[in-house]
Amino acid sequence: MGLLTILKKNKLKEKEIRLLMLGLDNAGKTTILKKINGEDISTISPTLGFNIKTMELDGYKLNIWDVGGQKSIRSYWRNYFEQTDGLIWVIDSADRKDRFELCKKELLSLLKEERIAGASLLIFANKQDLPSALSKDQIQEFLELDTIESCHWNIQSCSAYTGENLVKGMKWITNDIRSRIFLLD
Amino acid sequence: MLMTDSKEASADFWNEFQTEKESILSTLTNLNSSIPALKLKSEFNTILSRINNLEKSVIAASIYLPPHDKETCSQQIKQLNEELNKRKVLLTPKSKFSFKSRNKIKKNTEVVNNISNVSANINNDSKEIVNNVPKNALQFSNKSNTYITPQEDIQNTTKDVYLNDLESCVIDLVNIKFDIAILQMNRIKNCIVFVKPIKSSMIIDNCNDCYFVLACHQFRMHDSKNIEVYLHCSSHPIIEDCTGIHFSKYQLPVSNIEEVFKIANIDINNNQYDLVEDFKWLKQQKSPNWDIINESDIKPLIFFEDKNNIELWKKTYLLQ
Repeated sequence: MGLLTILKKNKLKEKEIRLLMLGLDNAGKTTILKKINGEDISTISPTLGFNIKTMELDGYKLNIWDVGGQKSIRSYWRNYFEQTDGLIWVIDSADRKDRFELCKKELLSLLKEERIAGASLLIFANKQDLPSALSKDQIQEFLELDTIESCHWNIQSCSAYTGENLVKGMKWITNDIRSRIFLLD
Repeated sequence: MLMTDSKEASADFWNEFQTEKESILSTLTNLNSSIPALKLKSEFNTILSRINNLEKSVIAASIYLPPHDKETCSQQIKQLNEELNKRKVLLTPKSKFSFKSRNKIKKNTEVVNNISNVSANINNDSKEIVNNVPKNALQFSNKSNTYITPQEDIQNTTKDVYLNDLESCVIDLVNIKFDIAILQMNRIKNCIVFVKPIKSSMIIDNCNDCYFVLACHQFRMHDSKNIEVYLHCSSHPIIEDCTGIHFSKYQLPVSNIEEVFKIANIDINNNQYDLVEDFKWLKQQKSPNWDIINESDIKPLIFFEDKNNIELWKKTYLLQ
């Protein structure tokens, strides 16, 4: 029995998963979090700092960290990297070009971070309820997700406003982490 | 856990621990002053996180580790930390001065930015996928000295609206027959913008010397200055890298005001226009970058008959 096996067993006992949710400001991170949790989404303020929510999914305890995406607080994202099992990257699918480019740039630099290198990556193409939203395929092509080799990733179209596909995305990332870490399941 | 298992596990753990410890030590010893400061800093950070991980592994293994092994391991981790700090002081003697280290962090992010700039440039082809603004959106752009209002034939739908590169224009999005989901404004100068309550959020970037009448769920303004905003916002409005932003309550001279708020699903009694948060102002005192317009300075909203008389609009509404 090697160290890795022991660590994995230890994790298994806890059945806890730590998820970090990031993305540009106005992507809808907090709305996703609150919608999943069944809370009111009509009076959400832009996040100054972070929110944490714990939820149960398929017998696992998910600790979801939602960190504000405003420009001046993006440099603090790194403070949340430690022990992250999965990264949820949220995109406003109806954003304008220069912000899409910024989004791509921020995601690329995140993927270079050693401390979250192995984490599963779920990309939420949010705001699909908006009339001008890009499809997840278009976003996948623009972000060149197919070139990502450093981690397992998946892109999921969703709407935090209607709640569509949120649980589907969460299930994918939970399963992916489970198969990676909790081998003995 | 069986006895043999536990013995075997602790022996395995001990070996792996020692290997990692030796590896960290040799990495530390190999660091010298010829390495650039930036690289050195990241090396130190990597070593620190390796030590932390090692410590975590000891804690995790403490269920089955014999007390003596556990004690030795934590002693050795302590030594590793001491060694790390010694090398840090030795190789970066000025690091106690905090401004220096901040600069380094900044440089560091610049490097990252440069790298991604390069990769963004290489992939020029892919840019075509994303248009300047989304395809189905309603866009008004590159105009000056014009009175702008959407065409009559757009009605009974919900639109995303994008305004960009406008100068000295009046934009009327009040007397329209469709609903607005989101609104983004970019590079708007000397403009007067009226908008009926929108269903979602708005982003305002790089605007200056304007008069805005807006109602929304979320309000974010970046890199803008000298703007009067008559706002209804059901959450805290955000400004970032802005100066001279003056807020007041939303005003709209329409008879069915309650109805338009209801359509946008905004609570007409919950207006947080005065609870602005400035992300570039961390002190306790109120940010100097925004204020509330004095009662006596509020400009009453009048729609002129002579809509195309831009000078008249500007004279009435814009800060001189």
